Amino acid sequence: MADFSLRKWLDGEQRLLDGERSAVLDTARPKPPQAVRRRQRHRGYLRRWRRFYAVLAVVTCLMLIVALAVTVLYLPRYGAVEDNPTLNGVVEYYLRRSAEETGAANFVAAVVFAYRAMDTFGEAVVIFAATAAVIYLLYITDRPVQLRPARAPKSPRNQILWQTVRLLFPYIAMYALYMICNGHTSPGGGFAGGAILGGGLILWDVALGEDRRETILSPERAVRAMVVCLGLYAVLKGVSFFAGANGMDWHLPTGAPGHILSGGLILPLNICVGVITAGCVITAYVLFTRAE
Amino acid sequence: MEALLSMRYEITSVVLFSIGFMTLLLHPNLIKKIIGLNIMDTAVYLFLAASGYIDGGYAPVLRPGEDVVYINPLPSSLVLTGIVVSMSVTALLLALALRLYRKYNSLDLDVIVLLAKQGKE
Repeated sequence: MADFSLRKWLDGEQRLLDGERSAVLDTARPKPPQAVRRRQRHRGYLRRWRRFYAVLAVVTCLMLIVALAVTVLYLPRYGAVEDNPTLNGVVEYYLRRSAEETGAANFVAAVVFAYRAMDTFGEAVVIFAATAAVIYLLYITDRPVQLRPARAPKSPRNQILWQTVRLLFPYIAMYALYMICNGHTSPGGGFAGGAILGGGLILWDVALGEDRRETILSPERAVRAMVVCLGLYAVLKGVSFFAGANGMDWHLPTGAPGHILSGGLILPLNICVGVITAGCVITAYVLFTRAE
Repeated sequence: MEALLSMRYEITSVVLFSIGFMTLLLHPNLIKKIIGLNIMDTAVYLFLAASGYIDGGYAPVLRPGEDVVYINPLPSSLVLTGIVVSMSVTALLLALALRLYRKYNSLDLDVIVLLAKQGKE
């Protein structure tokens, strides 16, 4: 019975296995007695299997935790400088040279948007692919999908939420823009700022209320903006790579590290990535809540 | 014991990873499975970020004119990559769960499997 109470402790859904689930399964269509008996036998198997499965899962997790914890004890000490294989020549090169080579005061931004910019392009494509998959799953079906207008057409807008959001949204947007545009001089950057911007847009969309068909940013427009930014990223970085490989001296001035207009391509790339991330967040939200 | 204390971030991430894995295995609810996967992701980020720390190091933003030790910037950028990928995966999984819910009117994996079998009969 130990595993039973553990499961009960883990989730309060044990009664689903007996009550509501069987209601769901039995009302589906009337069954001849033989089928009912078979189903009951099957459910007995299922229950026994689930109990066995729970024990097995707990044992697996305990073994995993012990194995990983033992492994952790053989790792280099937390914060150690000597005998630490993660501190190799690459890290030293980045810390010594990246500020003068890229002009970005933020080493992480220099790594992500200058040295490994093509990898970051791949990340932006991953975000775009996820958005495309969400659109494919929820918005494009056999028949044209409408965004849902209203659950309660005459419901008044929630005034507390609306006034708060009206007060807060400019500051949220400002903070997001600050994070995007200051990604090369301070912690932050396109991904974080774009996520904040998307969150602000979601808040605005919630506060506007449900009694309207149009959204704050329709999926079509968001995807158009994302495609433009993805293309811009590809062109900017492609030109930079082409020029660099052929020894041409086409690059933006790197500027003084810490200045807002520094870091060469990092600022435009950050803006592109910010738009892509915000578009992904708001499109996913709109489709999760409105598409039907 | 001292070793355990000095590695507390890594140990925490191991425990978090197991919690997420257990959630993923034991909950029949699809949304909770997705939450468990996200907890596992978080554990990995904690582990990576902890592996980049250097004693007395500052955040990896240039401090002009100061001769200070910075922490390792590479794990931070890897965590950035990981967060982006996990966000995309979460969006995809939620969309799939929503489609399943619309078809079977349930997020319970057992019910979904049984209903799918019934439909096949």
